[in-house]
Amino acid sequence: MATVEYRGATRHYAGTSSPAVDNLDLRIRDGECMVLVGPSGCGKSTALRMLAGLEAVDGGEIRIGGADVTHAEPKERDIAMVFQNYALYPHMTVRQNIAFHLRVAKMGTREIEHRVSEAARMLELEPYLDRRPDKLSGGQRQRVAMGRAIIRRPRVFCMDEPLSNLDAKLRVQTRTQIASLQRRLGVTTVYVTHDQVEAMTMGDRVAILKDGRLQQCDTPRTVFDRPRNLFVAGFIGSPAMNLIPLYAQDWSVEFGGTRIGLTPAQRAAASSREITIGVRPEGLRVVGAAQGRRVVIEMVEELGSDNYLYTSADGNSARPIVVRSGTREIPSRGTTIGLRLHRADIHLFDSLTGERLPD
Amino acid sequence: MTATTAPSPGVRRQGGPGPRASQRKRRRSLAPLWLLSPAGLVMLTVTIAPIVFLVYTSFTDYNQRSLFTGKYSLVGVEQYTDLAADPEFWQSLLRTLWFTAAMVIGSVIVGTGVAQLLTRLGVVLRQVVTVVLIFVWAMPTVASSLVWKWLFQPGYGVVNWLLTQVGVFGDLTNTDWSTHPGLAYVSIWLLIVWQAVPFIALTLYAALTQMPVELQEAARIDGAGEWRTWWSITLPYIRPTMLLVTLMSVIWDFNVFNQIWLVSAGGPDSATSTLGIFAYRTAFVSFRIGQGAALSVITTVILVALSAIYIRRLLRSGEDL
Amino acid sequence: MSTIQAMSAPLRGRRVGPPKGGPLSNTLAILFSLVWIFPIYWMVNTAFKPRSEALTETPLFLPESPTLDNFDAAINQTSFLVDLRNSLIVVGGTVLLAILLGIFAAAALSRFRFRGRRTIMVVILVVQMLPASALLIPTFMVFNELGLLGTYFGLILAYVALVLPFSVWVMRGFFIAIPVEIEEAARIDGASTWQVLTRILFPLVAPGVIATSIFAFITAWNDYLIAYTFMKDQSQYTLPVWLASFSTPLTGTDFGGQMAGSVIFSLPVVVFFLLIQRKLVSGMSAGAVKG
Repeated sequence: MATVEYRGATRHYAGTSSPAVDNLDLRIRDGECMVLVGPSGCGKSTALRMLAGLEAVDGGEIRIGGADVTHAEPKERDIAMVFQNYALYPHMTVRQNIAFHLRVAKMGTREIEHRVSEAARMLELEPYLDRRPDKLSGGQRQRVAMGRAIIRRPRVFCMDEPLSNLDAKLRVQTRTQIASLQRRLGVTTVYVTHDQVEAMTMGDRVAILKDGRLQQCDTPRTVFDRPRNLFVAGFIGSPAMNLIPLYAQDWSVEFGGTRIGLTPAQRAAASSREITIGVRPEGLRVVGAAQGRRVVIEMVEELGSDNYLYTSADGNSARPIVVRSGTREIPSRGTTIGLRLHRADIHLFDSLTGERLPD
Repeated sequence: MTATTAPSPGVRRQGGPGPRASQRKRRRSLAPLWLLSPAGLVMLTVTIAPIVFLVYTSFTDYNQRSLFTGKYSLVGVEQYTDLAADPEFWQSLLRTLWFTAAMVIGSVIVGTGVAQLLTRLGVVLRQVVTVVLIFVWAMPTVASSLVWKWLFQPGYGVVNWLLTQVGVFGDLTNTDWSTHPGLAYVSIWLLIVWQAVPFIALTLYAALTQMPVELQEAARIDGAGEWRTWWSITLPYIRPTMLLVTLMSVIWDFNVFNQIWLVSAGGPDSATSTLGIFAYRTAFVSFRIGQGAALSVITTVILVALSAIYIRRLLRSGEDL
Repeated sequence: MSTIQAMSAPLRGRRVGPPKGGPLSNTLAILFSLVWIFPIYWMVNTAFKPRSEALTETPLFLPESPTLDNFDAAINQTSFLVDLRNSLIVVGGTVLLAILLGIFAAAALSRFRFRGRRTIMVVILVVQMLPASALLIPTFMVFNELGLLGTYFGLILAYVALVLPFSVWVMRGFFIAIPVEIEEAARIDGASTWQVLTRILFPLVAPGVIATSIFAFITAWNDYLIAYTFMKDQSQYTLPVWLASFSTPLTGTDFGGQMAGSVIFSLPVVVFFLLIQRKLVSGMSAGAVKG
């Protein structure tokens, strides 16, 4: 077990103008599950591969358990990795795949035997031990990849989108399995995904990256409740937070009849009077057309338990305002309704810098 | 670079700054050199050096005596001008060209037909035909050349007998195929086509089996008949493979040596003597090695020109070299 | 007959296509098979005939009194055993060297990026096209200088040079098909560079190794021209030269012996092809898709 620390870690590919991972600072506690999340190209996989030793580090350093491993070979780091495509050795059976590390490490046959059967039991792989990967289903392959990682009892698990090749239902099921396995084993884990739902459910903490830079790193709750900037606000949560740019005439903004005055601290922090208010779909209330902001319903998404109304104001349907509505009396498409804010659910951002304004 | 796709290994292998990283970089970049050098050494001594030597020799009067004494002199382009003035050279060149054309056309047409036939057979017959193809494909050229001579033997040859029984050509029992210029060529042509069909047929058949059924079904639904479907759907689908197979046949047939040498030795009276046979005779029978080298240079240039089409295709196909 | 069943593998999937087994197709298939197998049938047929039956005015389509005399004569021919031994040595050497040199070169050309790599690939392609008969003369002279004429090693080198471009090309294809992540997984599992090569990459290139050994085997086993030109006398020749020497004027009429010799000589290759035919066809379909 160990802590993991990125100190100003940077990776710059030859021939590209900006670094893939830019001056990343991140401390991961012992036994913690840290999820790196972001859109594709944000550098999350690169950051993980730098930790694994598969990617050179061009600047800064990486520490595992306090020791500098910046330039160590992967095998010297005592880490295990689950790849997106699992990277199972096609010419080996499940048993051989799982045991490969122990064999390379020249462990005794009996001990290997013991550990393999233990891992196989944990992952319900016992019936398949003598099969080759090409004879396994997607879920089984995923479990073999997991088995290959846990048998090592490493200091750190590196998981690179381990669920993205599974179908939706299996993904949800496996997600909880991995989470509970990780907690049971207590191994420090760095988990990369582009799926924010996965990030929110798996991580003790979530680190959101964009263009190689860390945007925010905090617990799922905090990231959701207090996104630090416009990017995080728009990225976390589904459907996304509504971000409505407004102009703060005499330091207050108005939406649907609700006027919000900026506090002195907020005024001091704002770089101009261009203010964006963020409100999640559940932070809006449907009222009569005259009692709030007038909008037209463009589309209704009925999900059973929740219903979302995609509405547009002033005929601008490119940036719809999404509202969650109760299950009863869903207004139909084309109706004009009014929207009002729940005061508690408002986030304020500086439109120019994208930063959150203090509460 | 996208975070979800792994970057190419090489990009990653170039280490970054810092003493240890650059050390690793240097060590890594030497690995391919070590891995390549044994093969490179062999190619250098057995292919590259001889090619250089070949070109050099073609400008000398190297002959049998030179082999023992090591003495020869540079004669400039004399070997080439001699060849240009030699009608036998021009005849061999023309002969090689049209022999190649006839062989390629014959084997590609039959091969395509058999490939198509294979897709229309039930399990048993398909296996029968495949086994026959594999048997023929496996036959070494020396063995099949001997068999050919026996098949076409005057007096006892079974082909002579069969053709006589058919009765269209009259009594062929004592026809000596190897002494008649046209017939000698016909028998060699048959031998080459017989041997070339299996590779062509099986390769094209493999390509045909890769074709999605939906393509043909779509054509059917669009109202195309069987012939139309073949012409507008199947043929375009296997065209790249056909082109490849044709080009390889051209190169192989241009180089045919064993079969001609063993069946007719280029005879009768040079009637089946191709450039390869002509060069071999010049170099190893009359030991005018310099002249033989000049001939080989010419052959090589023609072949490289032909294969340039193939290589350009490969390069253009976007395959990452 | 499991190998024959294996052949139908590429067709096991869903494939409706044109109607199968129509009378016209079947007739054509039977006709084609008869014509194409006929020379081989006639070779075997003659090989088992006593001399008196081989040379008859009306050919006999089956030997009336089958005999092994021809095989006896062929094997007892001067130098059969010597030439067989020569062939085995040369073939074995060629196969081993072609695989060894080929796999290293292929690894270098697929797993590393370095300057000149593209040039090397083009050179390999061009060299593959060169006619063996054109290289015969200069190689003969170079070997003459190096004292390699009339040696096993020289002959093996000549064959390896013929086979190498193909084997590098083929094995490189297999290397490229291996996802980088598998290599990375092995490195994380603690494997050294050597272990990654020998325990992960080489086993995965096995089909390419098989293709290379087939090609090397056939090239070395079948070659007549180079062996005939480079080796000096009957004690050094390989089997193709031995076989071709049957048709000299002296033995020219012993067709039974010639055919028996041909059968003996062809048999290993035919058996080999039948054993590997599944790989043969699937390998070609892989190539077909790429081509």
